[in-house]
Amino acid sequence: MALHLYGVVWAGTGLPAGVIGRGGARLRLVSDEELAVIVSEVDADRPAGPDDLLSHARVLEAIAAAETVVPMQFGVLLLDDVQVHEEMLQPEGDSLRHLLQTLEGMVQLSIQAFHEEAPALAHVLEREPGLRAMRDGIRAAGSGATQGDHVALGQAVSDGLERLAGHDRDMILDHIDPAVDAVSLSEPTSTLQVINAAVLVARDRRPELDAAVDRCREELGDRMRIRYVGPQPPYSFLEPVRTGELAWG
Amino acid sequence: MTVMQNRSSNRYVSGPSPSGLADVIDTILDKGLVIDLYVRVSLVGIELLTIDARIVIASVDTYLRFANAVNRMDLTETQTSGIPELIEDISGAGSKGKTSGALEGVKEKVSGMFGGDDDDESREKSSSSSGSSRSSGRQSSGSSRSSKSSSRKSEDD
Repeated sequence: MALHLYGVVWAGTGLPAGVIGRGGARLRLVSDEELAVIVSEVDADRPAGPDDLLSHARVLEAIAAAETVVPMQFGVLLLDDVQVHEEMLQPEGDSLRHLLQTLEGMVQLSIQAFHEEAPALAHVLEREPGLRAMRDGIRAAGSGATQGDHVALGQAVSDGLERLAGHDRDMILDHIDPAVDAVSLSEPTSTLQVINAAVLVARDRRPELDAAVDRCREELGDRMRIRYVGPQPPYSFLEPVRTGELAWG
Repeated sequence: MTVMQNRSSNRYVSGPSPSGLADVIDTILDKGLVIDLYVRVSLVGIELLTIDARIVIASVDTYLRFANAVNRMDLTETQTSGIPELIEDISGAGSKGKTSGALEGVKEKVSGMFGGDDDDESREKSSSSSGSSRSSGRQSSGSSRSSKSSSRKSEDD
């Protein structure tokens, strides 16, 4: 047997009732005076599957709903309580305290937006006369237009879509910026993805962010679908805190 | 210390949704705390799921689809010459294999993910603003995705 590590909280933090760990195992804390690591027993030889990933995420989200937690990456196992003290609490103590202090009261939410192809393309044509002219030229050429012409048009449209995505991304950020303490942007994973953001927000200011996302949906919902997920532990903000890039006051 | 957000409050009709596997898979495999010395658990059945969670990557097929789409658009506009023939023409050429090649560039991420020392090479930067001042510095980095988007570019060129 081994211990699966979920995350780190302040010692004395209560575990939420009814939340179980990987494989249905009971959660417990391995604590020193100040810090506690959330763990559960796990068979180290059993490979992990999708359910295990979800368990890890769900445990952390249940805790993050009410408490500050520094999440572990999935898949970190240590052999026993002694190792948790020796490999984690003692050597990482200072860094863990700094993370917990800096992220106190904060949760992460994910905001992803995707253009709906047809309405987004219509909008691109509407805002870019040059593309309309190019399209009209190809229409006028009829069967005289080559495959290359069509590819060129499509590529130009794709570039226009990227410009629209940039424009819409800025609109979304303008809405959410006032409600959040930090934003972490990842590069979009497809032509139609407008924004792929993790935001850090104080737990008690969540309603402001909810309202901001609602406004985005009202203004942009005709051409995109916005996925708003959380609250999660501050996965995307650990590194900025550690490097000092993210600091308060 | 902190007050739990009352998610059933009906003042805020549309709060966030709980995360699904697709939402967490990148974060919990890629971010979060790691320590120097540990046993890493092996994963099964994750690659397929990751591919499912991915989106189509742009290619010539995508361009033809876009061209086809904008050619179909605004049929009520004054510009009308030769449209019906053109539509048939293009949909014949463009609709086949719309998504072929879409999943390329996805697999290597997963297989490379558990290679061990994954700590330093792909961290996202974040733009951050402090406390009340909330600077607007925005930074798109997502270096962990850059390999994918650059492969997209090279496919197209």
